[in-house]
Amino acid sequence: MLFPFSIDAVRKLSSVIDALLTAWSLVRMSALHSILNEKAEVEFAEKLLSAHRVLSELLSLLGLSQRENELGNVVSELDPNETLVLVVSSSLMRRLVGNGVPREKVISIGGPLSVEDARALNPNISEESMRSIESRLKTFWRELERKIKGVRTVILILERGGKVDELIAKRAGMISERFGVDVKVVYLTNLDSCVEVLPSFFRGS
Amino acid sequence: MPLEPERLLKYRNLTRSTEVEMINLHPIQSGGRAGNYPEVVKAVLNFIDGYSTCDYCIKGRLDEIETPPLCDFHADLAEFIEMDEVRLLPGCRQAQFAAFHSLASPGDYVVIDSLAHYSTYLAAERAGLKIVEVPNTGFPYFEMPPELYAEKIEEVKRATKKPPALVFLTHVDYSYGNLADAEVIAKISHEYDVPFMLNCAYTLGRMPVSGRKLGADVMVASLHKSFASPAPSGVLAANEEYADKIFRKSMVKGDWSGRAFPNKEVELLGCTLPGCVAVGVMAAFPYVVERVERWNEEVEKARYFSSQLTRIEGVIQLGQSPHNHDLLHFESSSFFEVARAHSRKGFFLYDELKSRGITGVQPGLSRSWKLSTYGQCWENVRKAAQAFLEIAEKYNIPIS
Repeated sequence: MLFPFSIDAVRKLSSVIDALLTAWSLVRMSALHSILNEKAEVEFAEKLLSAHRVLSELLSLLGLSQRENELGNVVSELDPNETLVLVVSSSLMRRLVGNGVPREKVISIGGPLSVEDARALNPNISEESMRSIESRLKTFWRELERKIKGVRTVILILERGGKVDELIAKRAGMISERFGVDVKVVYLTNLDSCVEVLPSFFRGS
Repeated sequence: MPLEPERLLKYRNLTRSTEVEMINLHPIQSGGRAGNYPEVVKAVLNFIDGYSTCDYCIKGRLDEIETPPLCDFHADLAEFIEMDEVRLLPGCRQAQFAAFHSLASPGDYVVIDSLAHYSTYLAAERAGLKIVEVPNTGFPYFEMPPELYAEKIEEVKRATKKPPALVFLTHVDYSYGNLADAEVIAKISHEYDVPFMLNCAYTLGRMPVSGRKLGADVMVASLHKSFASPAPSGVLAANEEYADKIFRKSMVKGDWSGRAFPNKEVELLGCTLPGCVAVGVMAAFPYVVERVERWNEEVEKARYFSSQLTRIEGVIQLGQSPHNHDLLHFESSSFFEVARAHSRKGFFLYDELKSRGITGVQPGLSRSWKLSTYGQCWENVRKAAQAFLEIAEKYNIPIS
């Protein structure tokens, strides 16, 4: 997908960099005692605030502020007791659980949602690997069946631009058809943001 | 030959945190710290592409480009140092060579101070010149006695039946940070009608320097050493009498094509310093104009630092005393004694300083080391001096 970047956006980005570089130079000048004189302090604060303001404008101009807030917007309308989260990697699941998301509220898919997709990703995949994928899928569907009781919405968290993530997105309909739930696909540029949003969402449950 | 990507990994994420995490006293780095000046950082980034200065190069010469204002900058820099013509070069050594090469012929003699940088010797050698050194006074002051210049000029005259092609002086030398009496040596040089060349690598950009006042016919300097500029950058300046010769225009003509480059300057091989380095130097200029006015305070800091370190038994400061420059050279029999018994040998001093947030003393040195307090705030100067005192105390070296 092509990402449009206007001259105005380039200028805003340059302005943010200029402001941050000035702030960086001022900090360098004060190393190591880390105390700015009055004049430098005023300039330092101005530059940081300017960078913050112009960066916000830039994110908004590029539609990125909305994108980063997407997960927050989605969960704000949901009841945590009726919500289940699906992520791709088990490490992300562990991070979510480690940060307070109840284990019963999150499942990692671990890879493509069908053996066909796994083969499409790697046409030379061995039979042994295929058997292991089939086994993983069986475990996933079993776990989903167990945890989805009472759930009305499944949030499928995917990484923007990820190959496996794209394939999973195409199969999201399998989940809604099989369990009669609403599946909301949320793409994130940075998966860290879900570690920030979801624990507090579930703490409210 | 394609290279494996893994082999190239080490060239990624190249970073340096010395200037933000340590008090850096490295004598060759203190005056060229460009990152402390926001306009320099921004200018370098904006002109980071190779030939970025050449968008509006109409006349084909760096010093004649009007946008960015390189043409004005050359004129302003000349006025600032009170010389008639200046050109940017990739370094002081290239400037020395260009001057030697244009003002002397192979086999000619040049009289130089015995504290000159090694690149002065090499520049003369490359130009095919013979050198005659003016001795210094030796331990512990290592000063250049001006009257010995006259003796050496006479010596050359006796041997060759003509005066030397050039008299050369290092304004402040890189070993002891001694400020030489350029004015008197220039006068001696002019009495013999010999052009006087002054190397201001450690002065131009740190302290007020006037070519006119010092009597320099030719001035060279390292801008990445003392002008808060990125490397490689230097300057070659000349007064009218010698400028035509040094900055002579090309007269070559292709015998088949008839191609000629009459606006290009031969010694500079055309353009010298395109892109972010030239613009970085230019962006540093306003800061330099301002900071040279604070030179007396820089000398005060160096003298304070010296007074603290020489409280440590066995530590002496070499060179002029009281000192007239931020470059300081210390000799220490006491730290050397500690090093001999220490498992890390001479590296103990570097380790101890590093653990106290101080860097710049060459790793492995304990008997004699150089450092510079230039550009450090008083708090850092005191902290650095205190670090040496603490190390002395730790190893039971008496402090007065």
